[in-house]
Amino acid sequence: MSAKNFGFSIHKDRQIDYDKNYREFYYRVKAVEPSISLCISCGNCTATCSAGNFTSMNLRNVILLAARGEVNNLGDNVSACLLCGKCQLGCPRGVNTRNVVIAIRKELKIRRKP
Amino acid sequence: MNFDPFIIPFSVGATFLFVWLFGKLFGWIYTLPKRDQKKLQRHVFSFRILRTFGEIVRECLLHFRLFRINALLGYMHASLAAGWFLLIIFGTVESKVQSGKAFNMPYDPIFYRFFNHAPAHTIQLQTLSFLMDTFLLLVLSAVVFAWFKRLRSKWFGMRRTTRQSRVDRVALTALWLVFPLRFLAESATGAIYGNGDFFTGILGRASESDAVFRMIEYPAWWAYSISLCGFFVLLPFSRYMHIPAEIILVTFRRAGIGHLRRFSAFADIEVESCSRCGVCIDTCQLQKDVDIREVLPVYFLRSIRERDTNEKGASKCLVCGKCAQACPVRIDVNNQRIVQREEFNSNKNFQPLHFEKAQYSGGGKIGYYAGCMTHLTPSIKLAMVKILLAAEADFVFLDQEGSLCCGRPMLLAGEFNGAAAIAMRNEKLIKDCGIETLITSCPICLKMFSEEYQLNIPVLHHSQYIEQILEENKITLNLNRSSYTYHDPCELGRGLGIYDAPRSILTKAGKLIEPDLVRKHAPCCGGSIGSVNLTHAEKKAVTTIAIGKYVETHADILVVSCPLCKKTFVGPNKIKVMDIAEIVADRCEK
Repeated sequence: MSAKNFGFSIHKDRQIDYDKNYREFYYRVKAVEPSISLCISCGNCTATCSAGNFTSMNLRNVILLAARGEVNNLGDNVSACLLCGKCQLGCPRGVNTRNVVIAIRKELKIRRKP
Repeated sequence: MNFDPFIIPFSVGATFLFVWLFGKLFGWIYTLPKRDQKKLQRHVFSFRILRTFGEIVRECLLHFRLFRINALLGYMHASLAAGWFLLIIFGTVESKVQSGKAFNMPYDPIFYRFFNHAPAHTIQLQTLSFLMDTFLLLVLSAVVFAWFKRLRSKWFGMRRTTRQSRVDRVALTALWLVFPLRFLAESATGAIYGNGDFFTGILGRASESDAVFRMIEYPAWWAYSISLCGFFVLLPFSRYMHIPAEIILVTFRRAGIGHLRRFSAFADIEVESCSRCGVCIDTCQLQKDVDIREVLPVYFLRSIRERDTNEKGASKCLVCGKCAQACPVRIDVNNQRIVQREEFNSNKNFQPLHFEKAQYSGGGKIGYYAGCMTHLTPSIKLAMVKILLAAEADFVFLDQEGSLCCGRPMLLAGEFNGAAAIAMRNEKLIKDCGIETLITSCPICLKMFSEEYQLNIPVLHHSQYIEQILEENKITLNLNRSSYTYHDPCELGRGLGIYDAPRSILTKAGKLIEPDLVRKHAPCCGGSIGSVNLTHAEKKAVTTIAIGKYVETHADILVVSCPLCKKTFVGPNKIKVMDIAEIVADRCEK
């Protein structure tokens, strides 16, 4: 059934369903790099990001999505990371961002494997 | 033919050792890439091998580098190694001269005194006998020093020493027993037959009757043989493998063979060459400041050798390279570390994006590449632009609109594939700009450009460039009364050997006060991207202690030449932190 065009559209449902989401992912990453839980989503990391300068890489978003367990769209984002470590210097909370990215990359790979 | 059952343990041990070592050597050469095998072949059959022999004598026998660290430590190792070597050589000569035959049993020199009771009658034999006693005395003095080192390691220039594993301790005990037992056995025989020289004859001359010696002589020779056997059998599995491995390492290194981007035969030889002397322990800031012992090269290399997973040891390290510069065997610990990180990396085939949007601006002879970190410390890049304008250079700011990473952080994290891809992309971007000289403010980028890129143009650190234009009088500095102290960044100093350029600039700009630890001994700022998972608190502890040393100099300004060091050091300190480019930009006059 095709949707009728009313000349406007509504956003897709953005309800965050913790029952369906893969929240274990976040805890697995946290086990490797505990400092991920210090993140306050301030976005300093994203502002400094070298990769974000040329791509849509957004570490704030990555951590947020990971925390919600919405891991399906993380792949492209984290694979842009160059591990340059600028975000780590910008972070006011002392999150070890480089290792967060490394841990997420490893976890995603493990998940894709089975 | 001389024979007695007690030669059996020695012969068994020695045969086992030789078979094992040749098997090992064959395995190493076999697993070398073809290119390296050819290099080795060319080296061994050329006159350059003589220089390799020279280094083997200097380092494996006389231990020059250890003498430079501490005279007592050097003496202990040199007298044991060289003394034992000379005992073997002169013992062989002595037994051959005595028997008058060119070929005799290999164990003859080892148990010479037991089989030959006649006192030395010719001048040659007397000289040899005297020399043998001298060498035995030399080796025994080393053993006494080794015992003493267990009690007072500080006298040997080491605050902390290695905690040895069980195999090492047993092998060590066997080694410590070999020479006292040899002395006892030779003395006993000497006392009975009156053929001991000045040293092995001491016991015989001291006592009237030889009844005791008759009782202990035979057991002593047995014990001597058994301790030798024990040492030989344990050698391949203990730290003493460094004795043969170091000789091979020196030869391989001189042949131009180096690390590969995986755990290669060369890396294995390096691991086996580690004698666990513990000289690296005192240099490590992570051990000193935050008490992380796993990263110490002695334990880290041991865990590689025992195929033990030591992920913490591989990933926490700052890769500052202080341990590597202290190592008397010159083991490339940094490369060992990143190769291990690659081994632990479960994401080996990771490919980063291509970054189509990235573009650098061209149109100038000199290209200034700020690098990621410098973009985070904008005062440095502004200062550099000011200096370049003042020098009226035909320059272009390559990455004004933001730079792609050089790839070194990925390399250090053990993502070799990703690093290579990024490096290739960045290399192409730089080449497309058509510049003739590349200047960068970031030592991390500089190290990558000069070692991994094929840019075919001169690549300079900004301190080198500033030194150059100061010498050419393109800019001059107005001297003022500020006093400076300088921090050597790891990648610039130990990594690339650039120590003098920043110092020569600072002496022109004001007064330079050096802290206690300078040049290759300089501390790491603690912010190194070399570490994968050192926590913020641990880094902070390293930084605080490192900057404390600079505050002690009471200089007005702590000068750094690395944006990452600057970013790490700035904060509520008692000393102002500035980059060398900022100092020059403040004072430069056309």
